[in-house]
Amino acid sequence: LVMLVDALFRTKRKDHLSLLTLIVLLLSVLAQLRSGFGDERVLLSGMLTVTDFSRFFDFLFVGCAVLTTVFAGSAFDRGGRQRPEFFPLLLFAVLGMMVLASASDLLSVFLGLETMSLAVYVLAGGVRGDVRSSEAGFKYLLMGSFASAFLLMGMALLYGFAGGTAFSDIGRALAAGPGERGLAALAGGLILVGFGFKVAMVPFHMWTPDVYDGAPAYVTGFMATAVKAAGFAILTRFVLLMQPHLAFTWYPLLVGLAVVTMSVGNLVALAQNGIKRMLAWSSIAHAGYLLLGVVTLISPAHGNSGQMMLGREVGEAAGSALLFYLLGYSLMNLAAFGVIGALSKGGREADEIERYAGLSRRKPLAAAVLAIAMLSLAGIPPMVGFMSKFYLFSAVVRAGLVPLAIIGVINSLLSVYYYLRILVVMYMKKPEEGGYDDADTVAVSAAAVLAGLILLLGVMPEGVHRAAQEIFRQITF
Amino acid sequence: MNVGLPHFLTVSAVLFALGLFAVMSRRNTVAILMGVELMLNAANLNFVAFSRYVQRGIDGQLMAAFVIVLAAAEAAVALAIVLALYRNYGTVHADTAQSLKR
Amino acid sequence: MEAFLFFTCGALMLLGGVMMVLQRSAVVAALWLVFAFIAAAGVFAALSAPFVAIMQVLVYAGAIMVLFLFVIMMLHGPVLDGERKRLPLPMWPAVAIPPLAVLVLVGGWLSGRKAEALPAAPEGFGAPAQIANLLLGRYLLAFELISIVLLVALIGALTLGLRERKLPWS
Repeated sequence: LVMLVDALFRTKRKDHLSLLTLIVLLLSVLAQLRSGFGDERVLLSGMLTVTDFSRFFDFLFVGCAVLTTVFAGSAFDRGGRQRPEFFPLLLFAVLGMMVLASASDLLSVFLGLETMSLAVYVLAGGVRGDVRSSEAGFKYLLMGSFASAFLLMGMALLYGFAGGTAFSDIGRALAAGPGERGLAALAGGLILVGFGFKVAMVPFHMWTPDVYDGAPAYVTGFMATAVKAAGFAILTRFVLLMQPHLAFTWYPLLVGLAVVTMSVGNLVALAQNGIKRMLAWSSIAHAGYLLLGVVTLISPAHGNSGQMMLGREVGEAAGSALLFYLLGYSLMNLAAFGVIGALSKGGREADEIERYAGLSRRKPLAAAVLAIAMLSLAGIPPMVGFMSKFYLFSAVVRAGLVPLAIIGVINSLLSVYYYLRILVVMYMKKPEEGGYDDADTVAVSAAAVLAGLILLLGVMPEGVHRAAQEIFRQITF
Repeated sequence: MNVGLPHFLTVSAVLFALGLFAVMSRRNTVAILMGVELMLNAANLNFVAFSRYVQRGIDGQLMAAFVIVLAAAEAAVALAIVLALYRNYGTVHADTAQSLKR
Repeated sequence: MEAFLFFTCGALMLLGGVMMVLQRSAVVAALWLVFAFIAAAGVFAALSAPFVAIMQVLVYAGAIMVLFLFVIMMLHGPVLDGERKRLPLPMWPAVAIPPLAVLVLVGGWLSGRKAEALPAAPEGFGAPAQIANLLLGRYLLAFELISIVLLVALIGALTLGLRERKLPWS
């Protein structure tokens, strides 16, 4: 599957490139399906473990990549600077994420992370001659390499503590007992710093607004969804692996960070006038909600083995809520960035919110799709956003962390304001002359499909939710 | 006096801190990248030290080898971006690249 | 013998690091870094990891630092004239955090470890042969992945580094 994705990209015919990428991605989905579900297979001598957990993420990554290809393809056709190397890099980024999602060895985690990051650095910074994009790529790279230095230091300590790089050795060493608790907790802390950067937790989020703003819309869409999902995938696996140690030392800190991430994300988003910057801050807020899910996974109520039975079921609820939330979050953001990409002509990005005034009169479909995405991000009932928040907060409450859930709800209410501001601008105000008028039909229709999915999942989430629960039940690492 | 594991770990910690200081105190982009290289090197030192003392197997050294190769790849891309940045901005100072701050 | 090697190379490495951080101009800093990397290779040798030591000298001190020097030379203008700032960045984080990191890191692992004697290294411990069969055995995937990472870096560097010129196919 993985080699297939890589091999096919070589042919470089420019115009049909986006079609080719789609074919490649669909092939990888077929290969995934053929390999069947349920069973958990250890591949390549312990380096990768393909479980349903990683299959879920693989589909998520491929989905995001397919949509990004559609958006990028349409952006290129409409005069955006043609970059033949965009698609192979996109494929490599997906390759890195797949390895990351199914890694069961410190080395494959590191390599997957680096493949993904390098590809995305170049994607973000790649638009030649565009000052903002090269600056975005530069900042992203600086933060990324800084984070991987911390991550590496943490891994070195973990290796020292466990004596082996495979997750199984680490699990055994942790379970084995007292050992150097300080060392393991220290290693856990450093690695959390590394993942914190990737997931844009509060103390490590400064790069997000600039990079999301500078990079072209379709790249930002990919970054906000797929890259963040990959970060959460590995964070969840790592948290589950290190549970006994993390529960005592880092748990209170994580709780605080989750709350701060949410509030900072929401508060600053209020003050933004660029739509991409606003979405950047909103993605930080959503990272806060997701962190809430991660925190419930390791909450002491669930963590210590004493109440393992109760814990197991609460853990599953939190885990499946996390997966469902990630799915919903990716749908919403891709739809939003898709529309933004569709509206931006050539190099000029459709960024200022005022310029969206009266969009509903000129481009009703694009406005409708953006409206659905915004409503869903805010968590208004009929949309998937509401269901995912509902599952998440119910899991948090069940794990006994009621105050956290309350803070989460307050934050969501807070966020409603700045999402609706976009709607107000689009529908209430009359169109001025400088507003965005023409949009790319292909991209808007793709975004419309997403909006349909958002509605569909919002109304009938049960099926997907049960699947997520089932996935998380047999989580193994 | 025999050289124990803590000696290596202390040296690597000091190196890590030096790298951290270099990254934080420098304005010149290339110098920041050098600081990051130093931090990666400190982590490498840890890997090899642990592989020597704790685990008879040499996974640690292999990991260190991979880290070295990866640092090279990252440095290549980083310097390419610095060049692109220099072409657009004319200077290489991290603070001046602020056009994104609205 | 290892003890002697460790102390000398360790000290030289730290010296290189410190000098590199305090340097005014980037070129001299880069040279000090090369010095530190070579000393680090010595430390690796002390840890009986010959393969990694040679890799270190070849790749780190050789390739990466040469790359750095090339770039510094290419950006001739602003890089050389005393670019090292008067630390306008608020001083205290840059000065406070590193020693803190040292304390935390050292405290962390000293808690469990005593400086027990250096166990004898089995023959051919770090030799390339041993690393090779491990590389192609258990870590085969990593071996493939590293080639892909290098490929991505290659493409990335090319797309970013190239000046605006007609690509053959565009």
